[in-house]
Amino acid sequence: MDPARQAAVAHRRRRDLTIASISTVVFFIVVTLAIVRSPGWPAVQESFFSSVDAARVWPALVKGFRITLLLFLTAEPVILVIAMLLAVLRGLKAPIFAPLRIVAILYTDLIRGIPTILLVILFGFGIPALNLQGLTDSELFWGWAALVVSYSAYVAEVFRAGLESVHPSQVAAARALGLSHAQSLRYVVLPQAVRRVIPPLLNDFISLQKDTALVSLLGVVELLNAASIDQQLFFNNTSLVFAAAFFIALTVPLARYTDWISARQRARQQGVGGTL
Amino acid sequence: MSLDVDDHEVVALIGPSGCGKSTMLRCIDMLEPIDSGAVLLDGVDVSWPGFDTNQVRRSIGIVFQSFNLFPHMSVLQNITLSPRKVLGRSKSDAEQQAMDLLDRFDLAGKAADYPDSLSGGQQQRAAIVRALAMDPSIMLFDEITSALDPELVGEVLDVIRELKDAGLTMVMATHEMGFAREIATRVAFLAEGQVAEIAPPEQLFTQPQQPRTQQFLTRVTEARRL
Repeated sequence: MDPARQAAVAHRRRRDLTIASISTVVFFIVVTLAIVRSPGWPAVQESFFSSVDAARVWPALVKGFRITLLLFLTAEPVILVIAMLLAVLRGLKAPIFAPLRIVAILYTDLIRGIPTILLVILFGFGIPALNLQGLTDSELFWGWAALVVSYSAYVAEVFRAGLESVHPSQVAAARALGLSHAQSLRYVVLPQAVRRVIPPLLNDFISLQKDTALVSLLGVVELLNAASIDQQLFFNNTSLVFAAAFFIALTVPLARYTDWISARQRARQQGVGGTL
Repeated sequence: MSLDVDDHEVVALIGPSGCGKSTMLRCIDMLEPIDSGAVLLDGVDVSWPGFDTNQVRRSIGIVFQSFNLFPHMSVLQNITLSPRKVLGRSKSDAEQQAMDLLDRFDLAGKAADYPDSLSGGQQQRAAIVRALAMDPSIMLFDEITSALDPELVGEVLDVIRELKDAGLTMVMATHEMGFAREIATRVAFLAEGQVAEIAPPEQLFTQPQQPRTQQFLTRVTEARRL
């Protein structure tokens, strides 16, 4: 490109950037002023955005957040393992594995049909009430278990979609090289399937992080419950807004990361020739 | 449909689309279920239900039109996967053999690269090397140049020439009539799931016996593919 043209393009770009920046800044100033100047704002601020209440509730929220973290960080690996197992079992073709295939199908259909909140209550209140020997009473554990059982079913379907999305020609090539069904699965199909479903897996992980709040129904003092208790004691909603901010801080970076990975995968797949 | 292939023979399968060339090759390698008939390898019926198909597939190499390299592995890993896992070779042995083959077909520099950074011709040659690494006694080629840009076809055909000179038994389905004429010991013309005619290339291309064959060759010549 000749220098005159280059200069014109650069000038245009700078101009567009300036317009976008000014327009955005003006927009947000206007919106903020409109909110802050409105007659109802002081009441809203006092109830939802009070810095005094935020300061008070902060230690309790941090404590609750630790439980939230513990819940989803330990649940996710277990969910992934169980889900992968279910997806693989479902794909087994040999006649002897028919009962395992059926169990996998039944599990995913039944569990996905039950609302997670119901599973949490069922596990959390129902199982300790059985008073069975050797089973823990901990609501935290049973709430965790309910989340694991519920999410395994959904993630299993994600893995299954991934397995089925690997083109049959890949399996044909693997079998043609003499690899057995198990070897083809392990070295050729699974690695590709897993790479493909990373975006939906991340989405389910983000959902899990928020669904840990369901465990609050059992009395476990995780993030939501910590905020809720404060709200009931002091009649101020700031704790809830603050808890929401915690959740947002947790999930938004992951959501952006997921978008980035999806975009990168799309670019890669469109560049591949002949191996579809 | 019946086909006999002798050692060191190169049999070319030609014919219109849908005539069964690909299906036949896939049946030979047990990638398609056979309703009736048999596949006999050195006199042994390898298509009998319950026969260990994995064992058969070690002796039969097949290369597809769409290369089918494994995208999540490097070229070297693609080639060494089956020799290591199926034939039990050690990593160093498998890699040594792979590098020798890659060198022979001018791909040594691409060993560590991933399939998506190779050209179509390079991917197809890598796919051939991958099949050769299993030391098959017979190689099947299913229209391996059909998906390639014209200027990349030549490098793949060079590989086939070299394999023929090395005495490898091959059956290839192809649209490259000129190449089939040059390299095949016999050419089989397939139509509607039958071997309509089979003969050495000079005879088939200049004096076809069957009208269907004649019709096909006329059309192909008109399209300047011969």
